[in-house]
Amino acid sequence: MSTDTYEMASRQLNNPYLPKLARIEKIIEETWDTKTFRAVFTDDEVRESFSYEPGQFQEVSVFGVGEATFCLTSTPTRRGFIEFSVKQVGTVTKALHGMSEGDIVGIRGPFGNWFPYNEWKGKNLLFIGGGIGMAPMRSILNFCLDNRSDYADITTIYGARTPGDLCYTYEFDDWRKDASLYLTVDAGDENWKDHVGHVPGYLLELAPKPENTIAITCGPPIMIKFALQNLAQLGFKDEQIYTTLEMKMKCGIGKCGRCNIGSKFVCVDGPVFSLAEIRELPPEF
Amino acid sequence: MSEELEQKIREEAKKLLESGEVRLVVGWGKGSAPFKTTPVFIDKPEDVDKLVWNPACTNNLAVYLPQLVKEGTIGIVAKPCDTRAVVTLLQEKQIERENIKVIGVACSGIIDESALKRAGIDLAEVREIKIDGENLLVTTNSGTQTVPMTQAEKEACRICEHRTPVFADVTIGEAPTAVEPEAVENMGTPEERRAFWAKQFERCIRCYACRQVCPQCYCAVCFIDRNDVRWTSKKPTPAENWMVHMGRALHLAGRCIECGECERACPMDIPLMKLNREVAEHVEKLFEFEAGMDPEAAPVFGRFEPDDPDPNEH
Amino acid sequence: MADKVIAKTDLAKWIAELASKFTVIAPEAGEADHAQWKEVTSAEKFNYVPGRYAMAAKEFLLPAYEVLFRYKKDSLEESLPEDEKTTIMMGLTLCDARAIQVLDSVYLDGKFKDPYYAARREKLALIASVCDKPRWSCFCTSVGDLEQWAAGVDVLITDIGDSIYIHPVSEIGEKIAEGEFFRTPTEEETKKKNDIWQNLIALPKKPFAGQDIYKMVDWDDAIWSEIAKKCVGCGACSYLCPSCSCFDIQDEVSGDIVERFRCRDTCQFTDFTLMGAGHNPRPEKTMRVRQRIMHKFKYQIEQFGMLGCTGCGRCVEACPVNIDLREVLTEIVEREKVEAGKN
Repeated sequence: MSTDTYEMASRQLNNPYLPKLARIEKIIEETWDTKTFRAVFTDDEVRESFSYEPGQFQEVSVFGVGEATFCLTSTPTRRGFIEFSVKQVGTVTKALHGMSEGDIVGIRGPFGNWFPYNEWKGKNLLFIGGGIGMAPMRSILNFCLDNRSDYADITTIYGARTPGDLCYTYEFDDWRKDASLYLTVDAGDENWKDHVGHVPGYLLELAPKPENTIAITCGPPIMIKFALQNLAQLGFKDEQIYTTLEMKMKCGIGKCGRCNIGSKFVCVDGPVFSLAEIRELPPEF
Repeated sequence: MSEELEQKIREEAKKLLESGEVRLVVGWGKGSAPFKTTPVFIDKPEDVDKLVWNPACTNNLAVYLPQLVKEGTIGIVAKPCDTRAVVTLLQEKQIERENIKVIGVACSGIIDESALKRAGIDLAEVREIKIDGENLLVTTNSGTQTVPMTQAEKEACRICEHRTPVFADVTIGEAPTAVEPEAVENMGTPEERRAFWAKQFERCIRCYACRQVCPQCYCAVCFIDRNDVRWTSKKPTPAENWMVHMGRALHLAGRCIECGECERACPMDIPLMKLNREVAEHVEKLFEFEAGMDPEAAPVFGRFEPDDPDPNEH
Repeated sequence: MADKVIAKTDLAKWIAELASKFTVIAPEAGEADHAQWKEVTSAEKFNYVPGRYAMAAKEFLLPAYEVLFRYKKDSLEESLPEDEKTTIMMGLTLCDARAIQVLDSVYLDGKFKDPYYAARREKLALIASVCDKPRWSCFCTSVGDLEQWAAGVDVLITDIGDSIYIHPVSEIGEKIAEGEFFRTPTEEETKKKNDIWQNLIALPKKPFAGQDIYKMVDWDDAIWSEIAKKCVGCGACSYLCPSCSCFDIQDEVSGDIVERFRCRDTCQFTDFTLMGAGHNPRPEKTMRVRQRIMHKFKYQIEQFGMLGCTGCGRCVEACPVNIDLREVLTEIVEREKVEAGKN
């Protein structure tokens, strides 16, 4: 892990409870309940110096309503802005969905650990995503594609319930450049030409080889459960599999005590965990 | 005698468990100090000896009923105030009559640790407590102290007019001497009352022990906890605490059966019963309704009558 | 550093002297068990009976409610504590002093330092007072070494009757116990002080003392659901606990000002881990009961090498249904012995 980047990130945060202000520059309607927000820090210095690692998260404030945790879905290789994707489920997400370009939000972060991409150099990468679970993976996927020569084969399997539930469709062509993209939906429509079926089943069909491969998966709990089962069946070891965990968070810095799984805080020791690390945690998520 | 009543409670519980009429009996068991008991859940006839009856049997066990009855018929050992809570739960359809078996016990008062402390007892020295007529005998390391029950008991017990169960399948014990009804304390001018409660609510830490021990506070999402509509703020300032307690007292209007558990459970000794007593008195005057007396009665604020009194005229 | 003695009749002068240079806080007089930590300007306002009050020392370091910042018209105004003077906390028990060390490990160590806690902690001096007798719920000697705990305060004071025996521990402690109202203790006074200390550390230990409890608390233990049967799910245990510090962060709007504050929260409440979409990793009370005890007796050891519990007994006294932590730990330990005996 890059400790240099970590030092820089830490120095950005004198008071980790104080958000930096950012203006919403662009809102992309991904699906009927999901939007991606591109935000730009209002302070020039912050905008220039802000850096993060793929896999980290931030606390986004809608002042007056509250804060919520969102992974950074943009990649640090593309500077000047940050992006996060929001599924409307509660008070803060509802407030965010009601915002327009030009509105101000607060950003606290980056927090958490990140994907150990340096350890993955020279390996094949297999991304397995479901629905909004693609959000954290988009960051590392685009990061690796931007550093293409560092990695061997890059393959993405991405699925959602219906074609209308797929996010980031505007990037699919990029995810096919010098890489493979396999899309699937649980139920197609008259325009759907790709695979129909659940993601874990498609994974088994495609039968990727585990040799020299790292698998990264994120999605609804049920999808993860079967994806992990099938990865094991295909011969993947626990140390080869990574995911990001999600718990309710407030402080994001390991103080408020809320997001622990056993003696690990998802906000500090995670959100990125290998399956080997997860096996040592109590079954509490 | 307390021991006789204890024995009878155990016998009744044993009958219920042996016959299979109930899947468990909730009662009081020995606590971790001589002046404490703790709720126990007895599901085997041979375990009924864990049940006790003494002046520390304070918990209103009706609080457990709505959850417990989901899995079968429950036996409950209940003081008169607890039986009133059972009646209120029946009125409000939180439990069904056929799902409960009530072992009612006549009661002459339950002690309050805070009251004992005020009476000068050092709880660390207490070895045993025992009722003796109208007194509490407290055996300590340095001898026995006699404290009149009126000084040792919960305030709610001191003024309690219901000393036999109002509703039960079986009643154990006999009515002790009735208590003269006491008028609700006049706490002075609005300014004096405001100052009194402002000081009390400085101490509220929003632990919600009061709400959680109350059998009538069973809402799935309490108004205090809602964050889509913010009735109160989570910050424990006197103004917000006020809103919480006044709101709760009003939500309990016509429902509070004055067991005093809220006041007893409060770790900061806030005299919550003063609020509840005041509200209960207004309900009694306006609607001639006393909480928890008749399981067939409709809840007083669950209906409208054409001739409902206009509070502005009272 | 030399020990000193001050006559109780001179106490007022010392406190006045301290109050002129520092902010002195102590349990307020006349409130018995519920004494809150308030600023002291004269000895009469100061509740000097040694002993453990309902409000733990954490009330000063982590106020039940504090504003983090205010936001108005696209600008943020930080709300950090701004005390110039050092605060002296007078009359806390050793269990509370130890709890402050536990809080230090949570708030000061790790990847981030909590600036609000740090601002108060850096300017805090502790005058701990030796308890002369235990409450019925005390079990400090079963969860730690009081000599070690005493080494973490700035001054240790003992009530020896007409006077107060003063033992400065740190450099700040030395500065605090300065002045003409102090004199050298007599042999008799020193003996009295020693007797009281010996009495304190002689508090009989429970069966779980000296055991590696963190190895014995088990995720699948049936005891959690036993406790959960009677637990009513309030927050009395955690809110009174001197080392429980979980908090919530919320926004509140007043006119055109948004106030972001933090306030106490507890893992015992149903919505503590409730997520926006409705998923709750701890929907059952059994799980929340387990979380609290495993956090205090296992996770904190794994995270900081320190037991989270300081044996103050507040949870034991406050629990409305008499869930007695001492009984819970004893049961866990005794059962482990039986299991070990079988093997």
